[in-house]
Amino acid sequence: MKRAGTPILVFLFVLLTLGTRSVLARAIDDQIRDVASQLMCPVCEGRTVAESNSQLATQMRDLIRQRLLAGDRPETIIRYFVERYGESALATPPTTGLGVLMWLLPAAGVAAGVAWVRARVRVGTPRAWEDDVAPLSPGDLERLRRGLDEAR
Amino acid sequence: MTEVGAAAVWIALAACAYAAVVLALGLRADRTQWIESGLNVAMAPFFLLIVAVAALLNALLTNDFSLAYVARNSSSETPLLYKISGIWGGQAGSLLFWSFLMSAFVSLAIARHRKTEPRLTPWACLSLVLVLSFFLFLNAWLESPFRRLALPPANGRGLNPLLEDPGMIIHPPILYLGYTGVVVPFSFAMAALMTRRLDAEWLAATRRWSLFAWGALGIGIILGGWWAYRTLGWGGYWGWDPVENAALVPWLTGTAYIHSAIVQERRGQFVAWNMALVVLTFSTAMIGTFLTRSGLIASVHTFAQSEIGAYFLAFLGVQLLVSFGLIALRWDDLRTRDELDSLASREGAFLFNNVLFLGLALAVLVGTVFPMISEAARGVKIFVGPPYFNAITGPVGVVLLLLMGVAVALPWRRASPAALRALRWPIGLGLIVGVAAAVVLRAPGVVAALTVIGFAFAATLAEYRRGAARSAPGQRISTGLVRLFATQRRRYGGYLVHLSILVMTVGMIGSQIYVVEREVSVRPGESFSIGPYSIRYVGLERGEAPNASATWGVLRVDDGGRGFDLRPLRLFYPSWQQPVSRPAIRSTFGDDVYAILAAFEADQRAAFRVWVNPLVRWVWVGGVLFFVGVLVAAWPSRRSRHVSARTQWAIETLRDLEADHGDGRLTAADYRHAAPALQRAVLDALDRGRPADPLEPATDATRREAEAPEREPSVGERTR
Repeated sequence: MKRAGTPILVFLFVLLTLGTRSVLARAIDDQIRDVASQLMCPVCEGRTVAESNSQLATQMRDLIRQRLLAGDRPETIIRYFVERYGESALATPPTTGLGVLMWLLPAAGVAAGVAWVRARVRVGTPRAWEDDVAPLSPGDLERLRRGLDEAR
Repeated sequence: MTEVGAAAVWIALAACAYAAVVLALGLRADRTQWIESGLNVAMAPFFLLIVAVAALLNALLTNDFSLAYVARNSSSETPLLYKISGIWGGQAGSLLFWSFLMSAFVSLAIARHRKTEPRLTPWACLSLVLVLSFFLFLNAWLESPFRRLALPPANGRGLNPLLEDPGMIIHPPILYLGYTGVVVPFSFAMAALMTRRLDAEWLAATRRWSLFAWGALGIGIILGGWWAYRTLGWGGYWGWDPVENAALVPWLTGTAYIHSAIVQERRGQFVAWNMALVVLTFSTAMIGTFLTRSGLIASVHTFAQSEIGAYFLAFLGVQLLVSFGLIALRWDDLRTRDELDSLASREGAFLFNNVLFLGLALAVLVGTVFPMISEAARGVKIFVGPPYFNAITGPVGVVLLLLMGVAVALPWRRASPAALRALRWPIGLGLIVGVAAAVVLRAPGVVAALTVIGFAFAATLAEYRRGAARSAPGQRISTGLVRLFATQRRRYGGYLVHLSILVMTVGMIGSQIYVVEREVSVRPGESFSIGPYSIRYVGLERGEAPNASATWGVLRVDDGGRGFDLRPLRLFYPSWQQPVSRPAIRSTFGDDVYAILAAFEADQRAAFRVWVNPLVRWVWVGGVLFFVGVLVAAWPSRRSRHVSARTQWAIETLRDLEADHGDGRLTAADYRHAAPALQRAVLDALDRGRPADPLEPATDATRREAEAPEREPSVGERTR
């Protein structure tokens, strides 16, 4: 049991390590898309700048392209738009103020769930739950087999 | 005809009210006649709403623009199919259609269960008509599609051009089937709580309803993505739009439920938990309805604003209070001893599954309502967009897929070392895929996801092979597979759904992460390149669509072979101010080339947005497989008429145990310990359930008699 579990743990560990992101050099269009998908289009409700085909969003993407080509960092560009259009220009809740709640709440929910499971569900109480029932007699087993065949 | 339709809605509302009162009184006074009357009358709304929907359809087809709804959502030029889909093209009509579908479920549920579950059905029916009457109240009072205009226009405005797409003909009805279908399991759960008949009965009675509603919701969501992809013109199919999320949340909780319900069937555990999940699924479906229909949240889907928000909130409040209140009231009856022999077991996997799915549902729900909360709290609307949802669903999704692969290979109770060792082949395959992915693609998240997908895929296929070998020993594997789908439809249909999720995930990874996009402004004759393609802009052409004038750009795409043309459209509808872009898509199993005409000038200079979306088609292939899987799983099985649901469960539990033992997934010691109690339970049940005359199938009466005494312990309780 222990020995068989080890490869699974190793497997999990490898996955988690791989799962952490790395930054790779990317094409300019991809970079625009990255920035634009972090901004909400101010005139079309509920769409990001990357998605929207509105005139304003098109202009914003153009501006993002110019700024990126001029060497600005994505964060600077995003900050620029936030200063201009307010906090609601962000497509992701900020990690300050009320926005923190967004990130904490689901995590807290899962943690509460896990805690609840731990409190309610006992694990590894070996054989706690079958009463000892005597094995069936050969005759009963035969009857059971026939019964099952019939019920099929 | 219009007046008939309006009247039908009112009469349906009256019928619901009557049924509710008579049922409540009859159940209180224990008067069979009253209850029967209530059940009969509760079937009436369905037939009345057929009339109402037919009346609305008639008005749409005959261009009766004196109706505000028809004037707003149809026109004389609207093509026939879209006149029909105009029924759900606007707010009032879609709500009427909603009630119509719900009334269909009410009638079907009553017809199906009044004889077989005579104790539960009246209570379930009471809950059903109460929910239905709320919607009918909205239809009759607040959002009637039969309102007349004082000054009828000569022509209607026409359907919103975005809705003129084949996807829009089927997406809403199927999604609504899912939303409304949840009411049946919910109502039977309420009935079980009211009557304290909390054992197998309600769960068995509603298994297929739940599966059906959950499947319809899932298919509806996929079709919604398909529609969005084909019409909205941003190159994607899922934007974490509030209304998409609203459908996703009940689907997630529903997924948790259909898994954990199996634990109750097999082990008699998670009883309270299942009850809570059903309530949660229904509640989130109602919240979804509320978000979709109240116009509270800005979204591409809110094609109408309305005043029903406050009523909806009140309804939701009462519904939550009553259902969770009932659960609290019955808490002592619901508690089971939730002891797991081991976490390395099927039930352990389902437990993790539940925690993760509920966590996801919570994250999506919070993200969806957060803009409203922040606006109320601080006056600033803080949006929660794709980056947030992707950041959460990505990693959790990978863990869920991993769990999916592990879970299918685990037995109930406790996995033997051999069961875990058997996972080494799928793990090996996953690692091979992972290494290959690491060499070619490099992005770590993608490598992790593909590793897990490879693993889960192999584990699932191995499970099919194992099942086939067991059900048809020594025969061809195809014979065994056919037999599996014939005899254990739910399980192996469910695994088809698992495979479909894997296929869809591959498509999503390709199209979300490896999409390339270009935005160009070009003159005729100029070329640009995107991904592996070189595209030349030929020029603009003009033409007439049935109810709009169209301009399209001709793009000649060179793919190194014969090449192809794309003609993205820009449509001008006389009755709509904004022109609409229609994407042109060339789709293959490798990638999609997706283009829209964003703008053009008089001198033929044009702006295009072009995407190359790898593997998108696999999302739709997965969607079709999902549909097939749900169909297989929910298809009625020819259950032996000799046995009750509870006996059936005991038999299936025993068969699982035997199979797991036979495959070495359960240690001999664990098997010897668990088998006698189960065998005894099945034998007793079979002995009791067998009718006097073997040629005469058990009637419901004799079956119930055979199951006396009433509170016979279920399998799980018995084996405790």
